[in-house]
Amino acid sequence: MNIERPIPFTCGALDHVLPLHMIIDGAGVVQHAGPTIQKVFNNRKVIGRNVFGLLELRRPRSIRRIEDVAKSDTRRVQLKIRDRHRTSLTGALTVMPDMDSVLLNLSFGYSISEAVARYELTGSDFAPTDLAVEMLYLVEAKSAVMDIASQLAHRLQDEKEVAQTQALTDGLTGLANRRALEMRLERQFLRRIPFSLMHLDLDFFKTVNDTHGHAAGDAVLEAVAQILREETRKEDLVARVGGDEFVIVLDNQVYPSRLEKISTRLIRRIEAPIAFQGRECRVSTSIGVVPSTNYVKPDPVVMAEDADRALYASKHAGRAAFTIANAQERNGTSLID
Amino acid sequence: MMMHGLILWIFEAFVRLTYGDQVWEKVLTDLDLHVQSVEPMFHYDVQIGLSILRQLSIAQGRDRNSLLEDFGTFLVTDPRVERVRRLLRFGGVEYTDFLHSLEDLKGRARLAVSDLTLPDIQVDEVRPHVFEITCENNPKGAPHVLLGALRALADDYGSLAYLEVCSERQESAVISVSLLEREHAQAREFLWATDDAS
Repeated sequence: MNIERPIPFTCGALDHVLPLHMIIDGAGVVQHAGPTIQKVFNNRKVIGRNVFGLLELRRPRSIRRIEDVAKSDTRRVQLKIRDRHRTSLTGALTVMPDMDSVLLNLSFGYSISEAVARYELTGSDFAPTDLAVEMLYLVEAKSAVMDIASQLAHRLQDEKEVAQTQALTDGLTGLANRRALEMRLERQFLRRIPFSLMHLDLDFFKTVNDTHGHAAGDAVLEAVAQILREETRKEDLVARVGGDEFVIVLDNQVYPSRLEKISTRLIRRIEAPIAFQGRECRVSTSIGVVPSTNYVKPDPVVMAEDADRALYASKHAGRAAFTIANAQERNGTSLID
Repeated sequence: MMMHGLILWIFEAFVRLTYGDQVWEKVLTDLDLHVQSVEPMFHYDVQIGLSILRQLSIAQGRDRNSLLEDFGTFLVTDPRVERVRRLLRFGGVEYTDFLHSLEDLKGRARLAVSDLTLPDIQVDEVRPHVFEITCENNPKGAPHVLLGALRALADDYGSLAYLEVCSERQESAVISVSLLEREHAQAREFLWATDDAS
C-alpha cells in the first residue's frame, strides 16, 4: 500500500483515537481540537485561535511559523501550555495530505501527574493505547513503596541507635562501658589534643557489699557514677570498666595542679556517706592519673599501664589518695613517684 | 511456597486497626513466632500466613472466609490504606470497566512490585450484566479477599451488585457478579491525581 495515499477519516474518529490532537491550518489557526484539548483549556475558545497563542514552542526553535513545519523534517516538538501552570507537552507533528494543514498530537510525558490534577482529567480522557493510566498507576505504586521504604529506613535507624547506645553503655550506671572507652581512646589518639587518663578504684567497696549486701553495693556504684558525671564536663568520658573500677578521659586537662584539684574533689565527694535504705555506706577511692603530655608519642597501651601503676601507688600509699604520673623521661615510658 | 511480605504486612495492618494491637500480638505470641511485626519487603512461608489466619479465627470465633472477606472490604474502605483503593480504581472509570480490568491486575502489580505475584484472573460476561470471575493459581482463601474487595468497590462506584463465590476448588475459584444497577447511588469521589501532584 502506498503510504502517501490519502485515506478518508472523520474528525470524530480522530477524536476517539487521538483525544489530544489539533488540526492547524496554513495560517496557524486551530481548525479542530480533540475533546481532551478542550478540557485542558477549560472549555475556553480553542477553535479559530492561533496555535502559538495557545502553546509555546520550546524545541526545536527553528519553527517560528506554521509554514516552517513543512520545511523542517521535525516530527517531535516540546511545548508548554500558555496558562498559569505552563505544563510541558510532547507533540508529534505531521503535514496533512492537503499540504496546507498540520496534525499535532500531544502527550503530557513526565508532566502526567500534575496535568491530571490541574485539568481534572480521568482515565477516559486518554486514548486506550496511551500509557497515561499505567503511568499514574506506577506513580501511585511508587509513592506507596517509597512510603514503606522510608518507614523501614527510619525504623532501622532508630533501632540501630538504640542498639549502639546499649552496646556502649554500662547497664547499671548508664556510664560508658569498656568498649566505649576503647573507641574513645582510638579517636583520642587521632585527634591529637592533649588529655589525661584517670583511673579510679573504689576503696572499702567489698566491705559495703559484705555488710550491706549487693543491692547496697549497686546503690553505691550508681551514686559514685552520678558524682563522676557531675564533676566532669560533657566533652570528658566517664567509663565503668570493672566491678568498682572507673576510667575518665579528661580533654585538655594536663596540668598537675588542675589534676590534683580534680582528684581531691572526687575523693572528698566520694567519701561522703551514701544513704541506702536508712543505712550509711562509706567508701573512698584511689586514683592514678597520667597526662598525655608525659610522652613524645603517646601510646594507648603504655598510658593505660602508667595510669594503672599510678593507681597502685595510691593504694600502697594507704588508699583514699591520688598519684599523678611524672614525666621525668620523655622517651615513651614514665616513672611513677 | 512463599508469599510476599506486602500481603502479610497489610493483613497485619488490618488486624491491628480492626481488632487492636493486643489481638495481633497475642496471635503471634500464641503461635510462638519470633516476629512481632511483618517486614513488607521480605518474603514469608505461606504456612505462616495460614497459621496466623487460623489462630485469628480461633481467637475471634469467626470463620476464616468471613475474616478474609472483611480484609478485602478493609482494603477498599479504610482511609488508612487509601492507596490500595486508588490502585484498584485506576482500573476503570465505571464498575464494569473495572471488573474487566481485573485481568490486568496481575500484570499491573508486577509492573509496580516485580516480585509480587497475584492470582491469574479471567473475567467473562456470561449474560448481560452477569460476570464470572475465575481466579487461578491463588493461595488458599484469596478469592474471599477478592470477594470482599469487589463488594466494597461496587459501593465505591455507586453500583448495586450481588456477588458470591460460586465454586471453589484447589487453586481455582469462580466469583459471580450480577450487576443489578449501574448507577444506584452516589459514587465515592475518586481523584485521578496523586496527593503530591499539583
